[in-house]
Amino acid sequence: MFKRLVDIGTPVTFDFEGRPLTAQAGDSLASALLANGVLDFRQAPEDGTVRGPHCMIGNCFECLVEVEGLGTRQACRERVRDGLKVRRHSGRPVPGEQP
Amino acid sequence: MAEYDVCVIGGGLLGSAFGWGLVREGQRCVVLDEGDGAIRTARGNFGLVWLQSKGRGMPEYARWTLEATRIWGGFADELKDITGIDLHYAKGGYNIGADEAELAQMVANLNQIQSEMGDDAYDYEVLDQARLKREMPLVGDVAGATYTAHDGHCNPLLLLRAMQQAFQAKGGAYRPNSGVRSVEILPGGGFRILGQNGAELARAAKVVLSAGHGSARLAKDLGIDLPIHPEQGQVLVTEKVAPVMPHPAMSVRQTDNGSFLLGASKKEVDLDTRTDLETLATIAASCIRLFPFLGRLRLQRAWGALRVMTPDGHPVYQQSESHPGLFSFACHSGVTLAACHALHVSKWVIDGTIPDTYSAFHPRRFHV
Amino acid sequence: MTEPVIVIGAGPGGLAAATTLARAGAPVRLLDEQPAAGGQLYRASERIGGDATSPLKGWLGPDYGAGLPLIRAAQAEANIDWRFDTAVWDIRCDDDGIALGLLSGESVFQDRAAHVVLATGAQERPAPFPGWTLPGVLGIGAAQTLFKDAGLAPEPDVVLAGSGPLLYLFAIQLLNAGITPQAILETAPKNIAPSILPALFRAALRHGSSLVKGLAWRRRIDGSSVPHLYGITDLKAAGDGRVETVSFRHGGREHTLKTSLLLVHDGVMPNTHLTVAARCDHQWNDQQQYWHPTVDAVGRTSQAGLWLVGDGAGILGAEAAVLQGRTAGRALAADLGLTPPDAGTDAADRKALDDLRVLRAFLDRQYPPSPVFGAIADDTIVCRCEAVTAGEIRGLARRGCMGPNQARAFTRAGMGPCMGRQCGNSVGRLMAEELGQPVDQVGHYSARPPIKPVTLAQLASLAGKER
Repeated sequence: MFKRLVDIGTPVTFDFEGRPLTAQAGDSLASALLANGVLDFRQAPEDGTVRGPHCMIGNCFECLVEVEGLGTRQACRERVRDGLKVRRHSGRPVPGEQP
Repeated sequence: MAEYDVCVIGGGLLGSAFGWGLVREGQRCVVLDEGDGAIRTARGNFGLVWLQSKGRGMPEYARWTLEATRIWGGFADELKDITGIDLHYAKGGYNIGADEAELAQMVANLNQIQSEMGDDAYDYEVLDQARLKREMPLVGDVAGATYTAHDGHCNPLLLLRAMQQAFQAKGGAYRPNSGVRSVEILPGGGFRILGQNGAELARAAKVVLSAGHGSARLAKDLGIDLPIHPEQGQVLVTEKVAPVMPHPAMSVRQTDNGSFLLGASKKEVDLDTRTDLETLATIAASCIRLFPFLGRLRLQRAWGALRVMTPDGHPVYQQSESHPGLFSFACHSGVTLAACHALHVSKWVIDGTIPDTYSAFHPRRFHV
Repeated sequence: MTEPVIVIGAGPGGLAAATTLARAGAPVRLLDEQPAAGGQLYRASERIGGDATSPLKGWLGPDYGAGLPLIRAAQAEANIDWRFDTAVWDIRCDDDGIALGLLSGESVFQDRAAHVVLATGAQERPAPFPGWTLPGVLGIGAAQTLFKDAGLAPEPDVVLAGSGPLLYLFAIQLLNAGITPQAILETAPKNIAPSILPALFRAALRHGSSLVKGLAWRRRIDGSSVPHLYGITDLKAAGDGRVETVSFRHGGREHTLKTSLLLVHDGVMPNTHLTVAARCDHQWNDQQQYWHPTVDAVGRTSQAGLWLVGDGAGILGAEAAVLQGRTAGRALAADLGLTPPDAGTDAADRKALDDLRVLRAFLDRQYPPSPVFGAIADDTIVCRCEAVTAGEIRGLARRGCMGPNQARAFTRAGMGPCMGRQCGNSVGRLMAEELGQPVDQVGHYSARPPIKPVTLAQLASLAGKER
């Protein structure tokens, strides 16, 4: 796992799967979740296995999450913000219920 | 003696259907296909097995399509038995009228088709907005839809794969990277097919020319009238979501893996498979009007496919009069008609004659 | 002239090209999908370099420090219009210029220019092995990005595996930060093979300082308490929902380590998604097993008006990217009828670039793509998105499937969200191997828009607005 060695910004609180997590301003959603010990970000739609960040430069699309109001997002390319509501990507979300 | 009974030129949806149909009847058959970079209409297909809206002004085509939808299920089952590949064929399809005028036009078209078909007319339903919303809860504020149980959809990429695999399973010879330069007519009967480098690819008693856009040049060299031109259709595919739409709505359908396909653009281009943003944006906007939830979905991929169009949009089926045994077939509805091509047209090739019932598909119709 | 040159990518190559063009008097629009300049290598340079108290600067080392002056030099040019958080999701080259679909924040729009310089960099070569899809298996470059970008470092139970200069560099950076990795499992052999010695000698003559630096890194690692094994094979990751163990063969025996984090690296390759989408000509580098666009000596691609500098044209490193950016900037300025700045240094830049090519020739031979990741077992997934295995691809090839595009249509490999960025290289190599043909004959995936994700509503907002 990862641990924070150097602070990069002021504390930010966001919501992941209904629980509040603390990150720092400047974190990507991926680094925000990894700093909180979250490795599994989504369920792959084809084989049902869990997946997490792999490349961190927007290429592999393994870090997909669902963000309220924004839908499916790459966690490594989205910045964390106060109050953001984030869920694991379920592989095949129900369109009507998409956050 | 020729090494093959039939050489099929073209390994797309048409050629693969003929190849499968021919080996299914015990013919020795070779399918010559181009390489990985070839222009392939099959890869860009939308996957509708579609009846309504087709054949106005040509009842033979409407009847032919109705026949395809009648036998498609059995055709798919047989392919699954042989290859294990499920084509995800499902019946029932809607055509949505965004406003009252569009819906009225669609109904008028269907009425005309039915009156032209006479005894073969098929049933269809007209749904108002309230009923459509009950059957398709995610539809937006549209006027209504027409529905037939004959329409349906499948996975067109798996269709191509399954036909190729079934063809090979029954002993057919599939030859990729075998673009054809010319077809020579042998003095004693039969044909000799030459590759791009001039080397002989195959000898066969009969030849089926079904190479999509590639057919045009070969037909011209052989003195065959094959009036086809490319028409670009652009298709959009979304991210995968939970299954919410079992039946297609013509320009919008949800695939078996959860993606939505959006399409229905028409553009005449010169063998250009690239997409352009204006067309893609227009497709997206018109489909969002039908299904507002689509707007929130991520675009996964967009592509341009080149349909093979004839002057009236209907198929061309013909046998050369000067060189019997040389058939050329072209049409854009390669998925819908795959069942007819495999199970009926291949028999015409074996019999050496196209039944009179289908003489309407001869291109002489363009010269009256 | 008033129409701006668009430069895509604010890493070393893009910064150098933009600075050179701006100094020549050309207006430049510099796009980058990140919120700040630096690219992947010099990522977060302004934050880290601008904070005297940040220990990261020291941990990352002097090479990283070269990024900030490049950024500052570009910032000094008034002719550069900076557009961060701007991603290119469509590119189309036509007779009348290059049309781009852009995404900035939540809005999409179009842009067009007669001249576009791509500086789109590299990606880590996807390294398939059993268990590589488990959460907790990341690229070494990915972990380095987290280190720079977020100050996150691996816990000491981390295992590093693979080969290449980045493996050493990151190990040194971790040691600098006081983190002692559990193990370094190198797929390359310890000694330099005799056949590579001539390349080593040539590199020593032309770029000795880099070799000295590399040796010092290795000495530092071997002098630390980190177990450093060479020539490991049969790498596997296992675990329930996340990586828990790593196993491998070394010295004729199988070993297993417990870990919560496995970082792998098998070198880097050009990021070709945009150049393939733009339909540039590409060629296959058989030694390094990657596709790269064909460019001339100053960076012109096969598409008129489209230029390419940096690792996107073939891996040469950041120092070379700067030289390429300057060279291309001067050549393009001359094409535009402007007086190229620092024309006197052009010859020196080209000579320096040649020296770096000689160095790279040695590095490429010493660190070829490893068979540990290249000999993919049949049941290993190659397409992560659609869960397609190597065995499925091989099976298709055996049945006459002639190339990656047909394989994509038949298996959906390369059709998922990453659009083949992770499996394209493997699928091409697998098919070539099975068909007994060279990879450049088998071909590569075509690329379709969108290059970066957009929603249908964003796309629809462009209806009736094309420029």
